[in-house]
Amino acid sequence: MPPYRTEVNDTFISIFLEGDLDANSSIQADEQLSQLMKSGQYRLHFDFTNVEYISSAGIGVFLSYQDEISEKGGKMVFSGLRPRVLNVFQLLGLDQLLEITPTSIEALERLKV
Amino acid sequence: MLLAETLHATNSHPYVNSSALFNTLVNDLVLFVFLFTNFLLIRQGFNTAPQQKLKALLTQILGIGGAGLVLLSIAIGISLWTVNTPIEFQILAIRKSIGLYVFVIFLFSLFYTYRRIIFYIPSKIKYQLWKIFEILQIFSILLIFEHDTTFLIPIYFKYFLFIVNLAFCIYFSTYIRWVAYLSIKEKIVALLLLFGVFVLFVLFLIIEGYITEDPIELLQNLFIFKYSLLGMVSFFILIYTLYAILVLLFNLPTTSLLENSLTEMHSIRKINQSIEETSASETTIRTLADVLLKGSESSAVWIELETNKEIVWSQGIQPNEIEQITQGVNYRTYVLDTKKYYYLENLNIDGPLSGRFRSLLVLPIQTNQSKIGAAFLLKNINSGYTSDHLRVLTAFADQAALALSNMELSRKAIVFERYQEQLAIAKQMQSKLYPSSFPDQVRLNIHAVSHQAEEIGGDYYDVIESSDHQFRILMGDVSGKGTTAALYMAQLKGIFQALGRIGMDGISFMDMLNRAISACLGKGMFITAAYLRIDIPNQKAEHFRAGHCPTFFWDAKNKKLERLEEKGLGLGILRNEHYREHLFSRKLDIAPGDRFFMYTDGIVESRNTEGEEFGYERLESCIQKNIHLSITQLSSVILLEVERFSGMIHQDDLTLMIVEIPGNLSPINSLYTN
Repeated sequence: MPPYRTEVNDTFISIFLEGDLDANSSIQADEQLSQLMKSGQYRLHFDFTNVEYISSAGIGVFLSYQDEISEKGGKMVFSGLRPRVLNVFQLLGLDQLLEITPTSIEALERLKV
Repeated sequence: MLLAETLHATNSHPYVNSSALFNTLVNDLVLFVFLFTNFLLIRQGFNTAPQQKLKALLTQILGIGGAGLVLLSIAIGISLWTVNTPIEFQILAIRKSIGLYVFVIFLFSLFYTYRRIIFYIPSKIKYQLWKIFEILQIFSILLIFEHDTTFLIPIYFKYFLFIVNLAFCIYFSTYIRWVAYLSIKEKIVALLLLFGVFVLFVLFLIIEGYITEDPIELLQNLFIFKYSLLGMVSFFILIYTLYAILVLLFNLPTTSLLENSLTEMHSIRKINQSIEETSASETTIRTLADVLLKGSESSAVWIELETNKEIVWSQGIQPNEIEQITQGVNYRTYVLDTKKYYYLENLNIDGPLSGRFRSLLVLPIQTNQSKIGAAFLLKNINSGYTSDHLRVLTAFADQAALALSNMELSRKAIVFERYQEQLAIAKQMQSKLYPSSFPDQVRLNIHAVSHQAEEIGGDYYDVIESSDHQFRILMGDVSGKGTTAALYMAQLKGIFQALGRIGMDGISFMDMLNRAISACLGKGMFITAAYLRIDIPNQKAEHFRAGHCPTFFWDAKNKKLERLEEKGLGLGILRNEHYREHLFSRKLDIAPGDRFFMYTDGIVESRNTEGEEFGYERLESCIQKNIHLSITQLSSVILLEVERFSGMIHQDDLTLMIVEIPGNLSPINSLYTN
C-alpha cells in the first residue's frame, strides 16, 4: 500500500489510503492487509478520499479477504470513493456486494456495534 | 682499410720525429682519411644494425672496448719486451697505431651506441640536429692539420668549434628519458654497464697517455686541440656517460614507485582479462586473490562471497585457522555495510598463529549496486599495510567487483533471453486460444482484434455456434496482466468451450461459468466478462455484463447507440450460489445491420500523455461517426483513434470485437431449417 495511516478505534480500525492502488502498490497493500488479519482485526474501515486510481489488482486485494472477514463475522466498509474509483467498483458490480458509503462518518456508523 | 692504417701507423705518429713539413702533411692527410673512413664505416654499421636493447648495445660496447684493451695490452707487452732492441721504434709505432685504432673503434662505436639510446624516442628536430652534430664532428677532423707551428687554423675557430660542440653535447645529454622506461633491475644493469664503459674510457685515456698531471693540458689533450675528432667525440661521450650515470643514480630510489603503478596497471588488466577469457567467476576470484597477495606481499588471503556466505578461495591459510582469526566476527557484512575496508593493524591472536599473522585487512568487493563479498589479507608483521597498499588493493577489489557484477549481469541476460524464448512460445500457444475463424459471414458477421501489452495477456474472446442455432459470444478480461492472467484465460477458454455447447438459459450459463471459473481462480483474482447470446432465427439477443465494460449496441433501424449497462458482478468475485442474485440480463430484439461492440478496458482506459483516459464518450462518438463503415474498417478506425490518443503505446491488454447481424435473415432461417 502506498503511504497510509491507521486509526485504531474500540471496535474497528480505520485505514486512510493514499495514492494509486495499481499492480505494484497492491502487492504491498496485500501484505499489510494480511498482517491486519493475522492480528485479528476483522472490522475494517477503508477511507479512499486520497485514492486517485484503483486497478483490478487493487480491487483483488480487498476481494481476497472478503470471505475470511465474513467468516470471522467481521466487516469491511469503504468510504470517500472518488467518482473514478467508485466507477470501477460499480462496473465490477461490487457496489452490490461491498458496503460503500459516501463519507467516513457514515462508515463509522455502520461499524459501530 | 688495414693498409691505410699501417701506412699511417708508420708515418703519421707524432712520436716518429719527421722534421719535414711535407712529411707532416702527408701524415696528417693519412690520419684524416683514417679517421674519416672509420667514422663513416662505424656510422654505417650502427645505423643499419637491427634495433637492439640498451643492455645489448652497452654490452657490445664493453665487448668492443674490452677486446680492444686486450689487444692493446698485448701490443704494449710486446713493445715493452722489445724496448731495447734496434727495431724499438718500429715496434713502438705499431703498438701506438694499434692503440689508436682500437681507441677509435671504441669511441666511434660508443658514439653511435649513444645515438641509438638518444633516439629511443625519435623526433624530427632531433634527427636534424644530430645531422648537424655529425657534420660538426667530421669537420673537426680538420683540426688534425693543427701543429705547433700552425698557419692553417685560427685559434678562435677552434674555440668556436669547441663551444658549438659543447652546446650540442649538453643538448643531447638532456635526452635521457629512456631511463624512465627501465625497471629497477634494468637500471642497475645499465648503471653498471655505463660505469664499465666509463672505466674503459678512462683506461684508454691513461694507457694512451692522454691524461697528464696538469689539468689545462689534460683538457687540451682531450677535447680541444690535440686529437680533433677524437677529442670532440670523447667530450660528448664523457658528458653523456656521466650525466646518464647521475640520472640513473638519482632515479633509482623513485623507480619502485613507478614500477608499482605499472604492476598495478598490469594487475588490473589481468583481472579484466580473466573476464574476457572465461565467463567463470571462479577464475576472476582466483586472479583477484593472486593480485592481492602479490600486490601487497601478504602471507595469506581468503575470499568470502555474499551469495553463498562461505569461503570460496583461500591461500596460505587453513579453514580452521581462518576461524581462529575471525573468532566469529562477521567482517564481510561489516565492510559491505560501511563500504570501506577494515584494517586491524595489530591482530591479537593466541597460539601458533600469532607469529604468522599480525595484521589483517578486509576489503569489500562491491559495486554501487551489488554487494559481492569480501577479501581478507593477512601479513606477518604489525601495521603491514601502508596507505599505498590500501589504495591499490581497494582498486583491485573494485575492479574485480565490477568484473564479477558484469558476469552476473551477463548471466542474468542469458536467463532473461531464455525466458523471452519461453514467452515467445507461450505467445504462439496463446494465439491459438483465440478462435481461428468465425462462423460463416452469412450467418453472423464478426470481426475481432486483440493486442497484448506484454507478450501474453488475459484478454479473451470466443464464439460458439451451438446446436440450437444460437451464437454464444464471450468477451473476457482476467484481472492483472502477463503470465498469470494468460493461464487463467486459457482455463476460461476450456470452461467456455465446454459449457457453451450445452443448451441452457443465459442466467444458468453465467452461474455455471462463475462456479467453474471460481474453482480455478486464485485468491483475489477475478474475471470480468460480457456474454452475448444471439438467437438469429427468433431475432432475439440476451446480454450479460459480469463486471465488464458495457457493450455498445447499435440499433440500425433507429440509428441509436446504446450502452448495455445492466448490473452484474465480475466472475470469481462471489464464489457461491449467491452469484446469480447479482446478475441481471438484458434482452434485445435484433434486426439486420444491428451491431454489438464488445471490448476490454484497454480501450477506454488508454491514457494520453496528460493522463487523460480515452473514455466511453470518445469511443461512443467514434463509433457513431464511422458507423457507415464495414465492421472491419470500423474496428481499424477505432484502434487507430485509440493509438493516436495514447501515442501508439498500449499500456494494457486491448481487445475489440464487433458483431453484426447479417443483412437478410430469411435465407439464414432457411439455412437452419435445411
